[in-house]
Amino acid sequence: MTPESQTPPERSPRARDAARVLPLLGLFLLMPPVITLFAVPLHVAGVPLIVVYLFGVWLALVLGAALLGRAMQPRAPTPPDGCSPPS
Amino acid sequence: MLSAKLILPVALLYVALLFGVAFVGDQRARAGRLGWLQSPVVYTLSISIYCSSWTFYGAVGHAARSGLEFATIYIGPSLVFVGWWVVLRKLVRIGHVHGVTSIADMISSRYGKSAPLAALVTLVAVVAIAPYIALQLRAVTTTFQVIGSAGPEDPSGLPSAAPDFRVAIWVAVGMAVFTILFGTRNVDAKEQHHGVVAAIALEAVVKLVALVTVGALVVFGLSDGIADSFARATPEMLLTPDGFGERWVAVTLLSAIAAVCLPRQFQITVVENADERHLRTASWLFPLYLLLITLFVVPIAAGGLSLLPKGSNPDMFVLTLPMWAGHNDIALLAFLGGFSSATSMVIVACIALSTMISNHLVMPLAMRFKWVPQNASGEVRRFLLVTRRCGICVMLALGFLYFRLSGTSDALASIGLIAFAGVAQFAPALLGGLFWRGANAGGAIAGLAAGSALWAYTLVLPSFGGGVVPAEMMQNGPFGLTLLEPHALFGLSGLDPLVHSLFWSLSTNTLLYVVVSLLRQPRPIERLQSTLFVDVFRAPAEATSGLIRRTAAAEDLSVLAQRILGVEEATRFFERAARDQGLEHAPPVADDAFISQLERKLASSIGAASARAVISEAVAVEIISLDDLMKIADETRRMAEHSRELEEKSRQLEAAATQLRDANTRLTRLDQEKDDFLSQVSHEVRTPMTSIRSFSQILLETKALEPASAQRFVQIIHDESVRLTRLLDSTLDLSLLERGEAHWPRSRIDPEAALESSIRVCQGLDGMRVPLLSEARATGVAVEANEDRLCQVFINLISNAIKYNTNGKPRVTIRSSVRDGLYEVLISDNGPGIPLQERSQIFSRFVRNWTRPRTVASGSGLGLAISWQIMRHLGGSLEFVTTEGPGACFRVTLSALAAMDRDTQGDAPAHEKGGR
Repeated sequence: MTPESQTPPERSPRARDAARVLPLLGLFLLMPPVITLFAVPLHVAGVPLIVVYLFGVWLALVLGAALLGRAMQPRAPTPPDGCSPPS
Repeated sequence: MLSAKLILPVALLYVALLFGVAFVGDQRARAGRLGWLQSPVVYTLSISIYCSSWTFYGAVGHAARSGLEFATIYIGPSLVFVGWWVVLRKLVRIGHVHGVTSIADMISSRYGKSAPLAALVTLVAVVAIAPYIALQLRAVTTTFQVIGSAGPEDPSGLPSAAPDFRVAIWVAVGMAVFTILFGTRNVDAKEQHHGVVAAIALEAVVKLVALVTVGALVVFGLSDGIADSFARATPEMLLTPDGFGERWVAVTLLSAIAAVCLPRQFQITVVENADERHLRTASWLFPLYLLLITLFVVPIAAGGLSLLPKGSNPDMFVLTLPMWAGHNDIALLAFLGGFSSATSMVIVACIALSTMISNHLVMPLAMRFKWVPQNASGEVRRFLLVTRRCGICVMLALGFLYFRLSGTSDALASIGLIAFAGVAQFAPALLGGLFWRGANAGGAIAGLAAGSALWAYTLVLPSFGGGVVPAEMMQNGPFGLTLLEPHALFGLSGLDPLVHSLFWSLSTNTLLYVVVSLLRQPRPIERLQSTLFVDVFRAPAEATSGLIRRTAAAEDLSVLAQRILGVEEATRFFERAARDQGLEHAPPVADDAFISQLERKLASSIGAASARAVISEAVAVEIISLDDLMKIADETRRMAEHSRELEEKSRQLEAAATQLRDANTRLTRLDQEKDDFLSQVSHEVRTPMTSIRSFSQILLETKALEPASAQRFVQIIHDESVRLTRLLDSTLDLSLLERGEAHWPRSRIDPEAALESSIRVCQGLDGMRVPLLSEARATGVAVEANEDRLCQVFINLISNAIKYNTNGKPRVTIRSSVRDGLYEVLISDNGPGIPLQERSQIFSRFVRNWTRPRTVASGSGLGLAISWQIMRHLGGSLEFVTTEGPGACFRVTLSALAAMDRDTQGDAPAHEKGGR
């Protein structure tokens, strides 16, 4: 009665592990002391480096989540268990 | 210049549009045509009620005051959604499986459906969210006044005039009407509010478009592109010295928690979720929404600071910048965006809180004091709807009251953060309960109570300002107790007030939660619920019905269901249950599964704690099977060991199969032997019996028999009887030996003496026909044995050697020696020997010697078998020795106790010789 036997195998079990790690990576990059490395008066095409870094990491997280979400999609559409609203 | 005459119709039109969308959404849902209403995009857009007017106006104000810190409020939720797999997925699954109606319901369900805990969560939520609603009311009121009254020459926004509370009242009433109309149509709180969701999804689009438009205006209209707009930002604004310190971390953590624990977020993300898979889309789309909505915050703040006159209210930059630039259309759009963000937040927050108030505060009291008529069916349902509607009004009234009481100086951001810190007190109990089985209600109540008290004392109380809290108390603590100073509790000074409050409240909360949970033994229902929640992905909900055994009269349950659900719905539910049980036109059987089903159904209306309470009244006996519970709890460990066990099992199975095969072979052989033995015994018994019968018959029937013949016949009968007796004795003997039941006294004896006497007996047996030659003999040996039995073995072997010797010059040789502590006797003859193929069987029963001389004195056929068993019992052995020459040779071996000096001849006792 393993959950694996109930739902079809996902495309990659590594994607699941990555999905667990991704928020931690984001936390690491956006928290001090890492973020303080970019809090310097430099500009990238007129935009302060810190702003570029902050939104860059953010966008990378969005892309990562989107890609992982696709990778974790089950091969066959499955009826989610227990999702029917109790009418 | 926008006049109030234009603003009001536009605002009303927009509200009418929202009503229309909500109405259409509801109608479509009722007709079952959900379509886009249940798409992941609509789900994600509805989650964006996280961005209230605090975001719409407050983020810019926050950025103008504290630089990039505003971003943390959106980074936290982004990280939570990016990491949806860990927490959100589990919450949503539990929400579906257990029909959770609110965060209070969720927490109380997890801790054994505890009613006090649900009430406590509700109270804390009401206290925390009332200021938040006040914030929205103030934002709408202020913007109304700003956009309606302020001209381009005075675009500084408030506080130029006191807030117009008449506007605030009308706004509050309008929101209450909308919420009551679309939020309380159904008593089943688990049923999705499709109309509301459709409306707030539209509002989510409006606020995003509005903010991006204002941003584009600032960047491309008022500045010369992106670089220019950032050039307006002072370096101090973006690179404050302690910009990435304790507050950065604390606010990120706080907003991450709030994205889950805010009642309205929980309502939308968990309760209104229609399909678990929608989370997959929301996991990236919601962070993207947050990113887009915050993208222009820094340029707008920088533009406002540099372009607008000094002293302008930064919280109004989104509105005042377009007005200052003369873009009234964009200002109007911004107003609608702010209006949208405020209304959507208030509507969902009110729905969530009114459900909590009615289910967890009013309902338990109503049940206790019998406020609801006991016999009227559907009365509870009506009562619930009324309390929900009252709850909505109460929340808006509380918000208005807070708005009225509190000063107007507070920045939007600080009020919002106070609410965040309040709901963050739910985090230890909520998140701990998802992963830690041992957590129990005692710990959750203790932690939550202490944490909320500290939060209220260190953050809420000071927020009222001088009017409510004396400055003296803020400075030196109450009654001059400096240790209790609200912003420097126990002397912890120098911290930001928010960080200070978070530190004390969350650490105390978590500590008490853990310690009390460890100290207190959970009740069975708590253990049951903790297992169901923690293992929600492993244990199916149906497993519950087997764990909790209850009996109730179906009639009582029917009355109960009708009271709460109304006749129509209760009847429908009972009929469907009966159909599922395969019963037509009969009430369903009130078995465990049905009672659990009914409890879940009632819980979706009145919450798990109240549902359990009313069911318990109707239930006669309740037993929670802890054994079964342990089995489910062990499932986790079992899963991990599963594959290893499988391997182990297959190995064991293989071994067992081998053993079985061996055993089968052995059994078959034994069976065969037993059959052989029986037939042999029958045969052996039959031969003498036949002679006895025939000769006695002759004696009986032949009258004139010669006396000599008669004498001979009687002699034969006698001999045969003796043989028969001997045979039976031997058989008995052997069976005793084989079963190990033979016990003889053993003593220290001289085996040579036994051998000598055996030889003497055998010499008498058959005259001197066969010479017995004694060759080399051991001397002075002692063994531990039974002398009689040892003699029996020797006699058997020697007599066999004599009896079956067919040699013309028969001869039997006897030798004995001591070698390596073993005493051995070799008895050999020069007879025909034993054919090779029979050698392996000679010690088996009834295998008589190679040739069978038919003499009366011939043995029973058990002699060798008995001898072999005797030697085994004595601890020695009897073997057949392969020799070069003709004849057979047997060896008897026994362990010697003490070997005499080899050279010493004589008859002295062994121990005396050894003593010399």
